[in-house]
Amino acid sequence: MQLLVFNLTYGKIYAYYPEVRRKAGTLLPLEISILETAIDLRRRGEEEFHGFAIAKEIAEREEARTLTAHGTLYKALERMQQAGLLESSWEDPAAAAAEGRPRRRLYHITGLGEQALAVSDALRRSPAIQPHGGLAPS
Amino acid sequence: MTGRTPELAEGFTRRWASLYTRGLPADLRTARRDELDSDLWEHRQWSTTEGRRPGQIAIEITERLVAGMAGDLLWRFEHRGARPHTTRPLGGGDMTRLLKNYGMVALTVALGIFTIAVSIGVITFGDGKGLQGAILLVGGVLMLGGLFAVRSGLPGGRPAVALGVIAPGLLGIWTIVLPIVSLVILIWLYAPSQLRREPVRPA
Repeated sequence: MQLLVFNLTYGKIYAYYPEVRRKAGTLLPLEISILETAIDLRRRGEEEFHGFAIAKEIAEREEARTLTAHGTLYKALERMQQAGLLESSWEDPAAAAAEGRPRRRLYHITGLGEQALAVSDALRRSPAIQPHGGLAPS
Repeated sequence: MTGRTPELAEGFTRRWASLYTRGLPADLRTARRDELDSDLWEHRQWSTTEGRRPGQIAIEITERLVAGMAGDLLWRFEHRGARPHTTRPLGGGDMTRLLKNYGMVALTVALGIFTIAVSIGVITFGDGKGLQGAILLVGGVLMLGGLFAVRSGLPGGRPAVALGVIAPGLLGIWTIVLPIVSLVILIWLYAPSQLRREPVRPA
């Protein structure tokens, strides 16, 4: 199923895990937060982010009292990577060792991730548009 | 709260991670643990820079640990099919060990089924031997359930099989044969064999 405006396969947005039960073409709130924050960080010149950085940024953006839980955050990041919304790479251990800290896994948002967020935004703004490409029954 | 409490909370988080990543392929396990290590380190640095007290930091880490436990378990469940493996080709010695390993699994399954069948017979027809039958039934269930847990990479599988195997052995049914079989399985369970925990697959 294709949404012509974004030329995006809906299946790629949501159907990456059989256990995930959700409406076709939708992103989970945490996934939206991660993608929005990633774009925000990129605007500020930070192309890549690590797990804790995104948790901290999300908490600041949403004025949340607590940071996203480890299990929730890393499960979401892995799921989004498998869906092609994010890509990641491990930084050079020598660089981390030089700074006296553990190596970071650095993520960045992909083109598909940006498209998925745009589709999700469009769906949120216009509830009449259905994920399967049709209009909502009146 | 003392200055050491963040370390305790971090220790709990690492222990929990080592528990739910147990039995996974090394790359997956290492990736999750390294990512968590980095997160804990960054969290501590940031909190310290923000001027938070050690107690506060510990609470935050514990909150993140507890709130994410369900996610961790789901993540582990999603990777239930992943098995630790190496990619070196099988050698002759490996084949012998693999055959021995599967032979022992088959023997344990057979003993488990046999024990359950006997227990049902003892409970149904054994006059006044209800307790003996119940012990055998629990033993059989522990053997099969424990084997399933070992194969699924869940914790507690081996002790469960060992406990289950002891039941028919201790009760000494069918003379000396079952105690010997039980002893053989116990030796296999606790013998130092990496192959059993990390089966070798062809490249």
